[in-house]
Amino acid sequence: MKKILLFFLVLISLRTGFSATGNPPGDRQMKIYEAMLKMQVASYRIARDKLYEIYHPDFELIQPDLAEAITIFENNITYLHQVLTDATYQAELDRLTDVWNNMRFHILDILTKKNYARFYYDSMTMDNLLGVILNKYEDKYGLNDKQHLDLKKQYTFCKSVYLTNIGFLTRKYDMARSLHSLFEQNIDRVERLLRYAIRNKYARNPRTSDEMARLLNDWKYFRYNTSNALFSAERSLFATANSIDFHTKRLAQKLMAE
Amino acid sequence: MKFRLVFILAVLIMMPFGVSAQYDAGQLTDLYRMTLQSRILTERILTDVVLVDNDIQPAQSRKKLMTDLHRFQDLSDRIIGRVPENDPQLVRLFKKWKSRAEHWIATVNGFLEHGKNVKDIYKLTKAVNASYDSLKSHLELLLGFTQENLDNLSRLLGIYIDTQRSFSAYVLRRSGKKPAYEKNYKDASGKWNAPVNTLLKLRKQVGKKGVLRRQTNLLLSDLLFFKQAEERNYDPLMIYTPFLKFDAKYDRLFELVFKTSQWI
Repeated sequence: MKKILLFFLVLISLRTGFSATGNPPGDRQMKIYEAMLKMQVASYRIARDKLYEIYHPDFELIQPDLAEAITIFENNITYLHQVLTDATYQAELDRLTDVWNNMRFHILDILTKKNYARFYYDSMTMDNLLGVILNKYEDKYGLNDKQHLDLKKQYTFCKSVYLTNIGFLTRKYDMARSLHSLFEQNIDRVERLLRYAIRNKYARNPRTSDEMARLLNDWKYFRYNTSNALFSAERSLFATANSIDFHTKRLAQKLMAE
Repeated sequence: MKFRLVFILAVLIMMPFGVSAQYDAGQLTDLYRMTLQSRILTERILTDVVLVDNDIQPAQSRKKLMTDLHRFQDLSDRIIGRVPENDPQLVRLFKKWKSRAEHWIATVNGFLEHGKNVKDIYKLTKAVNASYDSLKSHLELLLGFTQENLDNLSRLLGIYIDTQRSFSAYVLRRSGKKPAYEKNYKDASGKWNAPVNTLLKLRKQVGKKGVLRRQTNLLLSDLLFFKQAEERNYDPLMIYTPFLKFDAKYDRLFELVFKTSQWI
């Protein structure tokens, strides 16, 4: 009788012990992790869209895209405020909200060549702040397994494509010299990440091979457009970067479902 | 004789205390809070109706309308359950409000099912709001708020109502349709300064630090963003999600005001 009682006591203590640690379960951890990565990508997507407003002011193309990026940001920033209630993240989260609120005013401004660089650096600040929160989150829950690292790489890939798009335009129209180097740096990074995906046999995995093929095609087309001087590449680059973003997210979903 | 006189005098002196002692102050404050929430929800539902009727993110807006309507229904039931039964006038006022609110809910439900009767919704909203106004005044009298607190609470509510109306007017202006109910929003069209100014006045009252200050700052930033979007003629879709998030931020401010007993 005593043994049975002891067994139940141990069971109960184990149960309460686990729940008392306050660790979010794996799925939720992944969702929070992904929310931050999505916001990092969205911050550069907004910067890219604002650059297009200056040099390729096709509002029918840009406005829905900007609205989508704003939606991603608003949804995820609210989500982060709800789930990251721990005091360790509060300072960065509040700062992030302030930078975002400040940035929103400029989102509706038609920027000039001169003040675009400042807007870009606001996007970069958001990326950095999110990076700090992400690192703290990784450290706290020890998220350094392959699944998390791969997810981070996939979103870094999207981020780099948008940055290549920004770098291409700033070089072509010779503005914001500090951003010219973005083009080459990020082309290298994208190529490196693609090689990593190929090494990890994403292209041979029957679940991911379709998305990988699309990604490779899109990237080749994107790259071709950046070096073809015969026609205006802006619109194609815009659409291809978005397509890469879309297929990378699909690839991430498929990999996570495995 | 002397004893009788003293007794009568004592009763007369104690009378004001007696009146307030009939009520549980906490219960009345809670009732007041829920009543204000019902007014907020009425306005939120009206905006949802405008969004659905003008095909702004129709699937999401319909879902939101349904959720808000259920919340209103649930809140009105809870309000009725909390009305103190020892004040016949209060009971009468709440019953009148509830019966009008039920009619209103049925009409909004009808709109959700058939997409018609928007005009009726506006007519009934006026009736529901009139009942709300009288019961709110009665509650304020019982709670004995100071004029300053009443002004601040009225500002708190005004910010929300003006914001919702300005956004609806913006959606209607951009949609290009001219529905009959558009006249309800004529005075709110492009008037983002109204909620902004009221919020600035309220911000002065909350001090320079603390959670209330931070929350009012977040709302102010949202309002200026909406104002700018309309001034630059952006598509309402650009601010659709931030506008939905405004609700949560406002609800948080409302909750904080009652939690910190500010002006209550």
